Amino acid sequence: MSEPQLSLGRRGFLQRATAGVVGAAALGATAADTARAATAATSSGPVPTTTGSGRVIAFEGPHQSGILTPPQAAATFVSFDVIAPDRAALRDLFAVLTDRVRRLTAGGPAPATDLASAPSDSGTLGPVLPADGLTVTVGVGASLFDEQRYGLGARRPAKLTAMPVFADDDMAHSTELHGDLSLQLCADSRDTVAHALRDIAKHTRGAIQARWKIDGTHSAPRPSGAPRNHLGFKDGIANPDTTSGAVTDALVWTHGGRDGEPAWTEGGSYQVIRIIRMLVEFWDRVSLDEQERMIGRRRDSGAPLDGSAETDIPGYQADPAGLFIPMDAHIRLANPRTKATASQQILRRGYNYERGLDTDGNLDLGLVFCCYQQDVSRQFAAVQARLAGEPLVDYISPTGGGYFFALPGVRGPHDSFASGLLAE
Amino acid sequence: MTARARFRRPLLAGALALAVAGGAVGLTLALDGSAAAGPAPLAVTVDKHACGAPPARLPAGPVDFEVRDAATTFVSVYVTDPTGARAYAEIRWLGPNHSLPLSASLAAGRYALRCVFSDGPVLTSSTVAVSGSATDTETGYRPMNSTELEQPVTAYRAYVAAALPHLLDAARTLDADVARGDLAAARTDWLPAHLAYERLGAAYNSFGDFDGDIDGRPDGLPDGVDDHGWTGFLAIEHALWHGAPADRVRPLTQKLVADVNGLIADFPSEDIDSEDLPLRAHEILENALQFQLTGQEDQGSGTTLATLDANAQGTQEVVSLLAPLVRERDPGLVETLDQGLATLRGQLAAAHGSAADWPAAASLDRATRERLDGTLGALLEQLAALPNLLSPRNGA
Repeated sequence: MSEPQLSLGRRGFLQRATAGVVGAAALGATAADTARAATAATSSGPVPTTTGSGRVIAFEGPHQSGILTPPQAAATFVSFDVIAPDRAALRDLFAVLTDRVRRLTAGGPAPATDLASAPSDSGTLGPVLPADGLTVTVGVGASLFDEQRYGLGARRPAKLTAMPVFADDDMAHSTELHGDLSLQLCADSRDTVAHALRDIAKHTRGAIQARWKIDGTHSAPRPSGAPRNHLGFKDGIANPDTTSGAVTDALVWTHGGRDGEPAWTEGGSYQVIRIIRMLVEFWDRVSLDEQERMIGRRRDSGAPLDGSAETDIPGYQADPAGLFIPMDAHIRLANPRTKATASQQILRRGYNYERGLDTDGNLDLGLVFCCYQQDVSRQFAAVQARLAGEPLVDYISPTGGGYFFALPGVRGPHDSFASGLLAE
Repeated sequence: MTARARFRRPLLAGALALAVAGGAVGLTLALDGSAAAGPAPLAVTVDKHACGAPPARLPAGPVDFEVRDAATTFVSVYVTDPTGARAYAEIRWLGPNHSLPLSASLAAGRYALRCVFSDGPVLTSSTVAVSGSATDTETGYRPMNSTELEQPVTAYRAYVAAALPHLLDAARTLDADVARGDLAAARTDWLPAHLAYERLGAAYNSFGDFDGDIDGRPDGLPDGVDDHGWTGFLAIEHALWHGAPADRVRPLTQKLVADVNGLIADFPSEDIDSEDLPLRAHEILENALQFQLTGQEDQGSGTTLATLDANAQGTQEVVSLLAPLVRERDPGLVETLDQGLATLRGQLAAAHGSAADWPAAASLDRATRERLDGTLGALLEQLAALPNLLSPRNGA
């Protein structure tokens, strides 16, 4: 990469060596630690755990990871504004992002710190970075394509707009909307996610500035099947089959040259992020029967109200009057399971969030709704239109989020994020 | 701003404790490294007879020594070239009977270990010939002797000495406004006086207790803004912008004049720790990021962006004094810093515009704030190099 005009890590990673780290080490080591370490060193004793879950999720490929990847335990969604002064600096930004994500997702010893620098790594994961199932998924927002910015207007993905206001939204005073760039960071542990974001922010200072951020957790199955959201219901049961290339090609990935999409979008995907608060105090004062009729599933088993198991397919054709599953139940509106709506299915990849209190002491719990799709207008927006006014809206409050386009994957060691978007 | 002292890094006095804790960590790291990252480190023992016996030949690329101090005194250990013109890696402070890792990534060339014992002796090992090629190797830096900082410190003292009379004049103007009960004039004259102090930038740590008296924040006081012990510019600002009558403000402005006079009398005999100057070059703006750009230090006048600009000017002065030393070691860095500082000040000037008053930090629109955040953040990543680059490495 050329020397950035702004200070994108002038003495950053590119000049760094790759030996074991010296600095930034664990503070507070005691004499006992010393003795233990010395013993271990001389007796080939147990190796300290530095490897996290041990999972390395491949960084390179035609698509970004973190989309079809089954949700890891911890996630952070961050929206940034790009402040890079010009297109060359924008290119540098994506080169730096590529390099950081490549290194972070691979794991390994943190680079040595040279004589004149602060530590090359924050040290929060120890001297050897665990890959720990980390994925970092990069998206771009419609505002990045505005005229007077980087001259990318003609390359805007065909369906990429700012997220519109939907009828049941509570976003008038939101400070968590939109952005030029999104990062979805997911890993098998929370500290790995936090470390990755801190590293990326350090190396991109002066090029992007964080706008909003929300953390999510992927709950364990209780007791089995899909995880539960803060309403107590299983969520994400009816996702498209991500193991089928035919399905993902039809529902998840965009195709350059089709449907008006510019060629560079091949292998990307539209990303919708919505911060949906759940008014759990209110919800907990509602009878179980009413809750289940609003959702359309049994709370305990996750089974549709006309079935007995979570995996049962609701039979709407046999229930045209909504005697089993009300016509306005959430699952029925969201996915009517008709031929006409089959192409509207979205790949949901949401996370529960939990963050503090509102001014009246109510818990701020909810869902970081995230979904991927080939065409945000044909899919998410169509589903959202059907859900307008559903009974559930009284118990939820969408407060933020944005539309983004997840870039195509980084295809090899010499490729980088947005290489197609920024090709001369 | 008395809290600024907490940024102070451990110099020699603190180094002992760090080195001891580091000894334990070093062993743990060596274990992790060997378990996960290849060959065991090369064991090297140094004493008053030899700075270790490193291998005569090594392949280019990462090299990890594990250095043990077998002498009875503390020692600094460097990877240098045989003439000492460049240092590549270091152990700042290694204690007797302790071991620490020493890691570098070396290109083809000739190197040596150098030991600088705390009681004076300097030893150089036999030469290590490194051959082959590797990526990500370190270019090394010319080590600096502490005496090289004497000239910048002298120049810095002259800068402060020349600026202090202006500070006094401005403080007297402010006091005279309050004395005749003209608080509107006082609110106008407060800012130039405050900026005259903030422009000194690097000085605060050298001013001892005067800094707390002249520019202390209320946060650490038992009664906060109502604390009777709170004096100085920020206390005066709070009074002037919260409707205090002139007879309540006057004792504060009188004390300000007295404290500035006291500072002027005291300054010639104040020590300035020469090692402080590179630290300040970095930390003035860390402080400004925390307290000024956020608006946290605002006591009512809404001028923290003006303070940030004055702090940037103070940083420019210190950087210019250090520039010859920096240029010898990292030729591009001075220009990068100059450019970053100029960009920051340009963005502040644009935010100020032609209006008489500075906009309050809280009133900035999102795009302006994000640009300032990004510019200052990127500048700080660069300024952070100065303390390490200009850390005295006598004998290295």
